[in-house]
Amino acid sequence: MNFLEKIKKDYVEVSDLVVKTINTVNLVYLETLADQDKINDYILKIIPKSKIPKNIKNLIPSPNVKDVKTYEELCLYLDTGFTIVFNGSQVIAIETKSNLNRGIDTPSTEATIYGPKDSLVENYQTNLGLIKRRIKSSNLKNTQTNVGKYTKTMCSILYIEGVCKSDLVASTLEKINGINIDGITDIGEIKPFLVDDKKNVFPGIKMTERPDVIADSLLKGKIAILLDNSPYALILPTFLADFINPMSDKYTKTSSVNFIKILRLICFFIAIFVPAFYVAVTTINQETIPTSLLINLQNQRMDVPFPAVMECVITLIICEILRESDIRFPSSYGSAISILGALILGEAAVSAGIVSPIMIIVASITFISSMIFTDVEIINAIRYWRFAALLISAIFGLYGVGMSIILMFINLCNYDINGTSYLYPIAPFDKTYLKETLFKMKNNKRSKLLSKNRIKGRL
Amino acid sequence: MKKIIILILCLFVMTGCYNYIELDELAVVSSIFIDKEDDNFKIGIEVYDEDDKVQIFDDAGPSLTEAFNSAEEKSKKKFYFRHINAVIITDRVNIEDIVYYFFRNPDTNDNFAFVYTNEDKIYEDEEVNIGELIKNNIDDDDLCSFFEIMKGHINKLRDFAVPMFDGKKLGGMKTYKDLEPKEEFDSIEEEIFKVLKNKYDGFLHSECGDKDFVINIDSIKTDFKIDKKIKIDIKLKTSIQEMNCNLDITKVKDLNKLQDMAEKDLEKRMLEFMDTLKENETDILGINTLIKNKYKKLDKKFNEYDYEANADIHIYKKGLLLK
Repeated sequence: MNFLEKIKKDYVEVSDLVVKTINTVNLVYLETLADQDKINDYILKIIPKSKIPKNIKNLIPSPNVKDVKTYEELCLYLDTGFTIVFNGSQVIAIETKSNLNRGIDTPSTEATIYGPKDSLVENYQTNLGLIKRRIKSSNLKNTQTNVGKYTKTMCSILYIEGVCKSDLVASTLEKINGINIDGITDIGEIKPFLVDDKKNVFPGIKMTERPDVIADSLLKGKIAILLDNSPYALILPTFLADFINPMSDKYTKTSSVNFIKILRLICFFIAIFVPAFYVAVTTINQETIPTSLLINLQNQRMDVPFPAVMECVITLIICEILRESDIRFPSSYGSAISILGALILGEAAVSAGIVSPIMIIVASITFISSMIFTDVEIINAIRYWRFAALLISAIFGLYGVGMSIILMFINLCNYDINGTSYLYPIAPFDKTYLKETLFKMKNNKRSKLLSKNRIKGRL
Repeated sequence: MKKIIILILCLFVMTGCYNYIELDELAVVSSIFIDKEDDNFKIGIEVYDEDDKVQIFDDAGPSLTEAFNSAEEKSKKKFYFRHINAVIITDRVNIEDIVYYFFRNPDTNDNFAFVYTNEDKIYEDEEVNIGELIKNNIDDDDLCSFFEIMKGHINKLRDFAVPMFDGKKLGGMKTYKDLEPKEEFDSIEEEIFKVLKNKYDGFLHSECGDKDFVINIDSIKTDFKIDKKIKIDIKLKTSIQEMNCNLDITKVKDLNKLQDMAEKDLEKRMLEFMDTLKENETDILGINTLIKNKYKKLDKKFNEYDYEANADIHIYKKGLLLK
């Protein structure tokens, strides 16, 4: 059975399959993926009415014409928008993909004041182009592979040769090739296959939609993974310091940005430990707060029927529900949710004596602090540790707060990211990477962990 | 795994929530009044209430614990002594009982003030927080705090003095030797005590003939030099607060006269004060400790020494419109 017959048999209930015959030439394409104008310009206008040559490949003006050797190859081309041309024994695939993409938009999850306003889209080629526009070098390599038995989604590992360590590329490629699943719809699905420690709640891989972040990471010696049909890229290896220090810091003046960086670090701890601290000092360690504040808190809590820890858990859970509903709801309803949350939770709950005003302040400080971080996964990790610290402190007081801080640091130190601790560059200490993440300082070197080419500006 | 679960359960069940208490179940104590009558402790407990008011719980019992428990039942809340400002006692109470009661109690702070009173009842108005009133009017907590008293008592070298309270205000002080009450000092002598302790930043009254003047102390430096005699050197930087003498302070000559008078008066009062301490053998200034630190032994106690006082008072001339 030849390829044409086999296609007709395999694609019997595929409604968009078109098989067209002109003289002795057969064209096969999927009309939902192929562009009719391109088929017309590249093929139909070119094929002669009579005396069709045995080799028509040279006549085709399309920039992308491939010889098809196997049936699997043929199916892959057909499913990606190519038109297959059967000319006697010759089988060629001509790229006639229709443009199904949206235009390049502004970043929606990593918005900044300064810096580029473009973001990745669902088209792999466009995404690659956005990165190549920033790094104009033949050293920028992209190793491609397909993921998913049915979807055969194009996946590409980007790195700069000579800057990135080759073993990192090899091990990542091995992990991607080892993925054995039916299909993949978004790059987020690859993440669990690339992280060694899957139980840790902190994210081990950064997801970004900003091409400038990708380019900067590649220049540091990291690798980026792009996936067709996904407007996000993965960057690895990433550490805690990368999550709490956004790229936009690079575009701001050094003296002011260092203050913000310290503030962000403080907010990281506030977002986790403030509710725990509140419960500890109001239920077990009342001696640690000044008398006037204690009396003030006591008067506020006088009408609240719940224990402080329950009041805290209830308020935090309601805030989490509010946040989740705010994310899921269309943006036009966002203000309604905010008003509902602010009025009902803030004012009415206090008036009704369900929660104390100080609890609203504690919850607000906690949530405002956690909103500094844009990455959803780091917010999830903060939430996990917030509740853990809250429960421990409700039992052990300030001793419990101290215990949960130590536990969290043990957990972070143990979190293995490509053979290094998650707390890198603090533990293990690396001054070079510290100057690029936790602080902004003059730095002419690359981190020794990420690159063998230590000096920046040297090819 | 079973061992770990048991360990975690033990950790939570056996150690956790030891002193868990909700804020609304606490009665935060501001001050305690303790008196004794017919072998019964009479106590008054002042508890913080809403709107800067206080609640008073009076009770009595054969022991302090029973009296406190009985009062706690009345309040329906747990007395919380960690924010206590003052403990007010009368001379009918053995201070040793009180000091050791609080020393053994882990749920108290260690910087509340011990105050002496001659009154039978001091809590009369629920609008006035006596504990805070005492705390705010004591110039230096170190002089009469529970911690300082215990420190002096334990090292056996030092005695202590506590402020006196008449139900409305503080004034004067009561000295204790080996936890036994001794001499009472009035507020003028209290000034000298604080000056000698290097802890005074208030006003100093001095005489000029049959009239007086008041100087405001800006800085003070007191030094005890121990040799065959004990020499007390005091340097004060002051400004004139009130002037009732027949001197013209706009003239440098008169101002110098005033300085000399203040110095002589202070020297005289210091020596008189030291004589009283020597007579009662109450070392509330901690001179025995200084002697021991110098000679590494205490062959001769503070009351066996002669004293010499030297005051150097400087009055700031700025703002006096000198001629």
